[in-house]
Amino acid sequence: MRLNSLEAFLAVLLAMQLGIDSGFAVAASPAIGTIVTRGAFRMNQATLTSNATLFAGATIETGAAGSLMELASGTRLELGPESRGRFFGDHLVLERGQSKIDKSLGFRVEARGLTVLSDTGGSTGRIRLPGSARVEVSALTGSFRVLNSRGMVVAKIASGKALVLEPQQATGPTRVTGRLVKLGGHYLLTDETTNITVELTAKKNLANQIGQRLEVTGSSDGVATPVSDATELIEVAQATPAPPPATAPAGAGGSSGTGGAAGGAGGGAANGAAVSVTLIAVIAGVAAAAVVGGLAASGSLGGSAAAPVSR
Amino acid sequence: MIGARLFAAISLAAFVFAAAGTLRLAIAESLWRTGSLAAGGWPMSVGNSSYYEELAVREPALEVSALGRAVAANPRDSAAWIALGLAAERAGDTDRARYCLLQAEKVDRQYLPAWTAANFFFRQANDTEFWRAARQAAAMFYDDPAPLIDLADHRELKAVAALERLGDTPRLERGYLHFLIAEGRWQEAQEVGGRLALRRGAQDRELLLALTDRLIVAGRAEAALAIARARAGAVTNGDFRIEPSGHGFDWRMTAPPGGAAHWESGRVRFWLARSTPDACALLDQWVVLDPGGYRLRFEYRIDGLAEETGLHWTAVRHGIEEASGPVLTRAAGLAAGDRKTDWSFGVKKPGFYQLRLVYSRVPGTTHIEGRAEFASVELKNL
Repeated sequence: MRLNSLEAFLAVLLAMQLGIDSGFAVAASPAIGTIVTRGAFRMNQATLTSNATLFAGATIETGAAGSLMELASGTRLELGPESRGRFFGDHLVLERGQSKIDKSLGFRVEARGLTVLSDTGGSTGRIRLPGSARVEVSALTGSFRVLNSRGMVVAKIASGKALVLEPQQATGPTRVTGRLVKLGGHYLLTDETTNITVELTAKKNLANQIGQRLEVTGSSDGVATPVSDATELIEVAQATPAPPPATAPAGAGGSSGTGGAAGGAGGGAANGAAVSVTLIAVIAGVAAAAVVGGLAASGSLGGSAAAPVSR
Repeated sequence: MIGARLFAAISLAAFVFAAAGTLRLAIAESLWRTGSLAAGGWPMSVGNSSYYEELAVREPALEVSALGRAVAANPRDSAAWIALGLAAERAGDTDRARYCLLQAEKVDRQYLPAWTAANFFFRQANDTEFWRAARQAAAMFYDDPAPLIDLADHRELKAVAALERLGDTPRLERGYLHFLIAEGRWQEAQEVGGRLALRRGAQDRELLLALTDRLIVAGRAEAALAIARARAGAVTNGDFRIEPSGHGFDWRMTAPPGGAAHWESGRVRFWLARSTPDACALLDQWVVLDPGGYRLRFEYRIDGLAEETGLHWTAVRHGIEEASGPVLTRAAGLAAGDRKTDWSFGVKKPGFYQLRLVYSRVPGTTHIEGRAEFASVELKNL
């Protein structure tokens, strides 16, 4: 009798458990947030207006009006007008246009082989895809890191700064500019454009250049581990005194850069943003140039950005 | 007398009110046409709900309070209720969001409020309200139903059950079928396609043929046969009574390069030109065969080709020729009075086969222009 009662009790418990599980399965939907826009937008190629529930993997394409995405994680994104991206719970694959990201800790934006991550929870940034190969990252508040396709940090962007980056087709020489310091017997240089610190090794003695502002080209030693502050160990091919910092609007010519974003000095005018013509860095296969005027020159999502009103 | 004066006073007041409204609209339109609406038109509408909605957009910090004023100014403004509901949801005030979105549905019985409410209740995991709103939206969707179906599909994993909860209509079934085909969910596509096929709507023929094509490509023989109402071990439209559609289990006719293909009720004709390549397929049909022997019987007529025409039937499986018939000769054709010809063949593996009529120039024969005509094709299990 007691056994029967126990069996009945366990059966009821099991039934309740199954009920809870089944309810939970319904509640645990793969919805990742909401999308709100003033006009029409396309979600997975279907045209919608006003708002929708965002599911993981959804491709959103905006028209004349941008869209606002509020993710369950708390991250808030704006997809600019004429933009397209694929949304997931923890990342966005930006395919066209631009996106603004807010409260972005733990959320990343992938674009053209690069990954943009915020360093702090309150960071707000903008990622724009000018031209056919570049990625422009603006840190509006807080700081951001940019990683290459191998997960290596290629730029650290401080608040108020903007960079244009372009992955290179072939791994060319590394090029950095900054002041040479010696710490614990290691030669270190923090690139002025990307804010990335590299360790330098050279056949000739670098001691007489300590404290100088240098323009260094060299090749990355992918095997050796750099000192902890540095992300890469560079074997120096050439280290020359850097010219004084100067910037000019894009299209002003005179770039002595190494292609990619460097070449953007000449071709950048078409993309709207003015980029530095002297501070061009190439780190881990990614060329980077500062945007002249920082955020002011990096453009904005414009007046038609997402607005939480449906029509 | 007093009544007449009162009537006149009311009429005058109504006239003044109407005139003021007309004048206001005229000024607004003028501003809009001159492109200065943004500068001049917006402030004119102070006190209207649209003013507060615009304010909510321009001043995100004031969003909720401005939208609150908007719905107070015009409680029938569903857009303002929706915007306020979504803003409340973003702010974590789900009770207020629910109230606002239900209000939007109450004052506006069109698609958007129902769609918005369905999405909200989906996110809140409120099944009862979700299906109520989704059903409401499904009854009046005016564009692509895919997003609504996607939403319902996330809540109810069985397509037919979801369809019934949404309010089964042919339009919705079509939408669901498109959705399931895109998702590659063949079992459910077969179920929904079967329901659609039962309705025998002429407008659904193309969609069902497309489904059959996809089921064939997916290798789902039984499902494809069921949707196409075709039989295993038999040809479809063998008498060429209707024009081959080129889909499903129907014939696919291919005009030989440099030549032509033509259907007329009861027969198909092919013209081969001097420029026709030495090998090409002319006629093709998917058939489902079990292992065993089969006999293909058909009528044909040849004009102008070489004695050994180069025309013959093949059975192809996964792109590989499993059986090949003898080359047709002019003598055995219709012109010779022998109207029927057989080709017997066997297959070892079950599944889809392509029954294919091909032209392949016989070595040693001259490539001559000519015409071939086929009729009454039958396939029988031996």
